Amino acid sequence: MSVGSLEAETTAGETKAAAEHGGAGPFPAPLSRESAGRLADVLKAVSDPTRLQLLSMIAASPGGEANVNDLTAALKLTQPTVSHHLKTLVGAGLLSRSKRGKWAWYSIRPDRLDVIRGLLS
Amino acid sequence: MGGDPDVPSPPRALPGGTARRLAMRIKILSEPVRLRLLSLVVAAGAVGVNAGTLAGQVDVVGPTVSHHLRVLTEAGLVRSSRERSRIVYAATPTGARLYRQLQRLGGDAAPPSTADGATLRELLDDLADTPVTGGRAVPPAAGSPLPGLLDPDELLDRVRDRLAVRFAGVFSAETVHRYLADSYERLAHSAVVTSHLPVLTEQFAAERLAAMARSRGLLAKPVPDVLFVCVHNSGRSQMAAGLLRHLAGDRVQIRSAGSEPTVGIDPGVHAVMAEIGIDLRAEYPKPLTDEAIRAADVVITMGCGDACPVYPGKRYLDWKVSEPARRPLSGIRRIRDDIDARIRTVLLPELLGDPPAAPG
Repeated sequence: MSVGSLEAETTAGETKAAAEHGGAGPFPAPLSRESAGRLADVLKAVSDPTRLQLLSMIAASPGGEANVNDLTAALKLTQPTVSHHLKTLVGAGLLSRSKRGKWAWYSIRPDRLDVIRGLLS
Repeated sequence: MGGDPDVPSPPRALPGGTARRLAMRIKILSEPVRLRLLSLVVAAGAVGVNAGTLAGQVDVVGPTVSHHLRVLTEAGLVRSSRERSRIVYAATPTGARLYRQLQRLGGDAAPPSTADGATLRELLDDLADTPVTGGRAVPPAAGSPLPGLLDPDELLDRVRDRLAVRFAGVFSAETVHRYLADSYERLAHSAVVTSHLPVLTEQFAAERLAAMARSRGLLAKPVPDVLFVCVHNSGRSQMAAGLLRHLAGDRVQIRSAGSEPTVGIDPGVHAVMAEIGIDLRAEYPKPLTDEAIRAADVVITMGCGDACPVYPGKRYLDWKVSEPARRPLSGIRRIRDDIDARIRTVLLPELLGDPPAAPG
């Protein structure tokens, strides 16, 4: 899922211009068609109220992990529905899934944790 | 990550209303072409990039590019400015920051910038609250689409219905539709971004259909048809059309076009025409089309050189008139008066066989 580092080489002048340009640092290289498609898929996965709620619950769970049973109970949805949403989020590279014992445990992937926390709080 | 099955249920979820609002705002950006356009605009930095270059890099048709740029602009992520005859797009600070956060959400390893204080949530909240051009706020009502999210096809459907009624018995609905789609594409290419695009498209398509009908003898052609052509259709040809309209009234059918139409009529041109009581506010730059040339009896070119194809049976005049853009008002007045004199002494006698009309 990773689109890799898209940072372009920048000159000192460009970096300075970038600092004046909303303080966003050096300009990233534009997205390729493929990267844009992947990023759009990630955003589509996130742009659903139930999936945002699932992410928020997982992020706030003890140990940063939750299982489908707890999530289903809290959201008052059927388990297949919740499982479907979780699968979508795993497919988008936002969640990791690990099966331990009876349950599959979902956690937010560490490299997305900061940005997803910034989205949810 | 010690997942203990005995811990209590997970904490409360994000409130439903908040989740819906956030989802709707993220959805605005979850479109590949829109993301690529945003990335290209951000990559261009403070210098910006023009619409033609953007369209060339995303390999989609002009109207689609215009539509996405309009959405991004109305969301406050991109701003446009006019440089000479081109529209240049640059990312707003919110747009540049939001793009970075989105990349991180997508798994880009780009290190967070020290200046990236705002969280994704704050940036998304900002996005909806950013006033768009004209001071209008982006509608906050949950569930209602943003104006820029309206499919241009939906807007054009209404226009198509009206035009089909207008040309009933002359052209089939399919022909009307084809001309409408083509007109939209041509205007969107040249006019770039304007909230008036559907209105202008209706007018432009109607003029083209009428011209075609007339050239095929499907509509009565009681008066001579004159076409003024210059490069941008923002100065000379507009002044000439306005002057002739006032000098000849409805004794002449008048059109104007540009070989490379620009975005709007030059403000100086508006001013010097208004001085003599001619209002050009309803006019807009249009591309040169084949029907306009075919319908014309007289074609007057001003500086557009070989761009105008030559058809037999027409009278062609080439007037050496200076380009008014970026000239002081005094210079534009001289150009206006030059055109006025040529219309009175050359064109009117040719069209109507009349003595030159009285000044006024």
